[in-house]
Amino acid sequence: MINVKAVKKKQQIRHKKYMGEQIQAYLFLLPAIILFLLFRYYPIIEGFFISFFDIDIIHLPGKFSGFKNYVRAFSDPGFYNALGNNIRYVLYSILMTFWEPIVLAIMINEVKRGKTFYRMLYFLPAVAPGIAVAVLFRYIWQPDYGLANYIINFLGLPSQLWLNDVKQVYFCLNFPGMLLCGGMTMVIYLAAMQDVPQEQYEAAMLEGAGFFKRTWSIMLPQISNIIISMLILTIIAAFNEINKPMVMTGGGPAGSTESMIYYAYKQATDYLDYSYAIAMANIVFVIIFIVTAIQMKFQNND
Amino acid sequence: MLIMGIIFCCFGCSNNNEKKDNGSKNITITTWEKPLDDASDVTKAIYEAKMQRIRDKFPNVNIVDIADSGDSGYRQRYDKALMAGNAPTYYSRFSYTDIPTRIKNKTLADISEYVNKWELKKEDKVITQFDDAITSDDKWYAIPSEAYLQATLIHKGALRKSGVNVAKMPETWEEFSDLGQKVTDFSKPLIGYEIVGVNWTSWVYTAWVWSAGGDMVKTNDDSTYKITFNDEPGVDAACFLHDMIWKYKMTQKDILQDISKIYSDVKSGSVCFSWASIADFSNNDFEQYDLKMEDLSMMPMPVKDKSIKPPVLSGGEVYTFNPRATKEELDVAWDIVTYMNYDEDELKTQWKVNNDNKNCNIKMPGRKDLYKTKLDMLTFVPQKNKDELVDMGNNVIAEPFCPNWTELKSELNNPLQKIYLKENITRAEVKEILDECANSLYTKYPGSFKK
Repeated sequence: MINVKAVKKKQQIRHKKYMGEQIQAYLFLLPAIILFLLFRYYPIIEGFFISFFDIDIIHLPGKFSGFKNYVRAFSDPGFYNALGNNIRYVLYSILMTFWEPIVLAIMINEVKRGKTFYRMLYFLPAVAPGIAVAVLFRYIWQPDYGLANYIINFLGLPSQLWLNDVKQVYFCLNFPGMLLCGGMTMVIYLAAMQDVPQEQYEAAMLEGAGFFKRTWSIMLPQISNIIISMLILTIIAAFNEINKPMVMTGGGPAGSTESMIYYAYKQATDYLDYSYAIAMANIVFVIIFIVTAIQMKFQNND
Repeated sequence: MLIMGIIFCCFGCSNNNEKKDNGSKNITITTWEKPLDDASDVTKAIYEAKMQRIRDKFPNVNIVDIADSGDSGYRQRYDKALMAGNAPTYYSRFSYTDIPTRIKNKTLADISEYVNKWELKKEDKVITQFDDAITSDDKWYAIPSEAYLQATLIHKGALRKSGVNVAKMPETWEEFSDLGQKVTDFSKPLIGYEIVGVNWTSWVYTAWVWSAGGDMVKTNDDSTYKITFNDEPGVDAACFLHDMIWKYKMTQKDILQDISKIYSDVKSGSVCFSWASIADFSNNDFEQYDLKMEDLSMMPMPVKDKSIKPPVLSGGEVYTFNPRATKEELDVAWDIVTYMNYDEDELKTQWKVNNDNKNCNIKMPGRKDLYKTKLDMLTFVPQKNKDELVDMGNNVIAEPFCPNWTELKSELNNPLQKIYLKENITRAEVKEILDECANSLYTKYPGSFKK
């Protein structure tokens, strides 16, 4: 006969133990949660709050202005110019820097010997600080006596304006990334590729599938989650772009590389219009939030 | 981590309380004038000596000296500190052109009470070119610190390197472009005339509009301003700057470079003429880069034709005061600032020390009656350089500061870059681009700009 009381007592003990472990876990997480709330979420919420005021530095937050800053943003030609520039950043990032780590990872994955060596070879340049690379390429792209023009003159081609040409500037901004910064994401793709079961490749080879067929039909679908995640991160990074315009072009030539965050930054620094700057940063935040929501929906569907 | 954070917050709070409760006799003020750790020993020694004299003169004042990094983010640092309540009591980095915006944003103390009783001002011994910018509705919000002259810096060493014998410095655009073509050789590299771009594009352009006989803005009867950079002189100036890049090939094509690039090129002797000033170079620069004072010279802007008086742009920094400062702190800060920058004996002591240490500060002091004295006391500066500065002072024009001047300059940068970078642009296209910019400004700032 089952002793109901004893069973219930055991269940209570197990439940207590479980709750104890849960509380312990939350206590360990609590400092991180508090710091996260304080240094991540609080500034975001404060930013939204301030964007509805004409900020007064001496008597914060200033005079309530409602949606004035947002209405101003949506009627500001500079805002639309910056938005258009951000879309260009996204397109050029995808065209120039998104696919390259995938190709690199596929090639390294196929290598039988020296895989570690090639992985290190492509990874090491990615460790270089982005700002240092940007400053270096600023000099390489110098139109009067920079290295880029020296090389193409040597090949018999005419000098170019590079960063000073609105048609070439996005290529010049993304070229360093294509050359040097793919290593980080290459490692992530490589790890995902190495998780693909070998038996699937072997089975495909037995059926006469070549390299391209195996890659297209087996490998890429298996790592599609990673690819989509990286695509979303690329888009988010492109919308947050400020380093390249700040270091390499100052938003020029003629405002053609002024990203939304850089435009917002200039509103704050040149015009001391902090409220308007925060409003624009919030708009960028909403755009990125929507993109992230789409990513999560994709991942959930999978 | 949470506990550590709480502990540090307590320490922070307690430190602030100590500062405020530091005795009723002592007033504590904060400054951001201290040199950085990597400043030269000479600079630090000169500064410490000056601070010691101030401490001796004002024994009841506790001066908290903080080093500021001195980079271009100083405005944001100041505003952050103002919001946090720990901005300096007085501050000397703002250009006078910043003041109208700051008056609107109420980030400056009203010091009318002090200026209206100021004897030196009444005796007309204080420079006045910034007065309109630092006042509003008959109230004063700043006093001048120093004024600099900005026009054309000549590097004679670079001219010698070019191998061209320069008998006479160019005075007109024609002479300037003629010489510029001869001395330029980008393979060396040796640049004939170097300008600054990015956010400073319209700053250079302003002086060239004057040298074309024009103006950037003109005052209307109703105190608004008519935009005139799109008149014929403005178009001439833009076309000439464009031609210096493409036709005469004497100016760099990189119009995205900032002012630090010009300084580097002057130090390395790669530029013959540039939009710079001798005052931009410190003793450190002269020593580290083997730059010789004799090799640097200044001249006004070359002019379109000799009927135009060669202009020289004058800019400068002003002293502002913390709007959160108490009356006692403002009293003390005023006394210290006027002692440090306007007391004749103290100024002469500073200038003697500068001269002994070959510290080249040739900016015009706030005391206009003592400028010649200052220059005379800088015995290591060649007399020729001093005479040039005094001559240049004959047609000094202060950079305009009309309401929304900062916005005007900012809006004009992109159109000017468009003009400079299009190789085969026509005069009509230049006029159209400038007109479009002017119309945009009229629409955006109707309270400031009117046709």
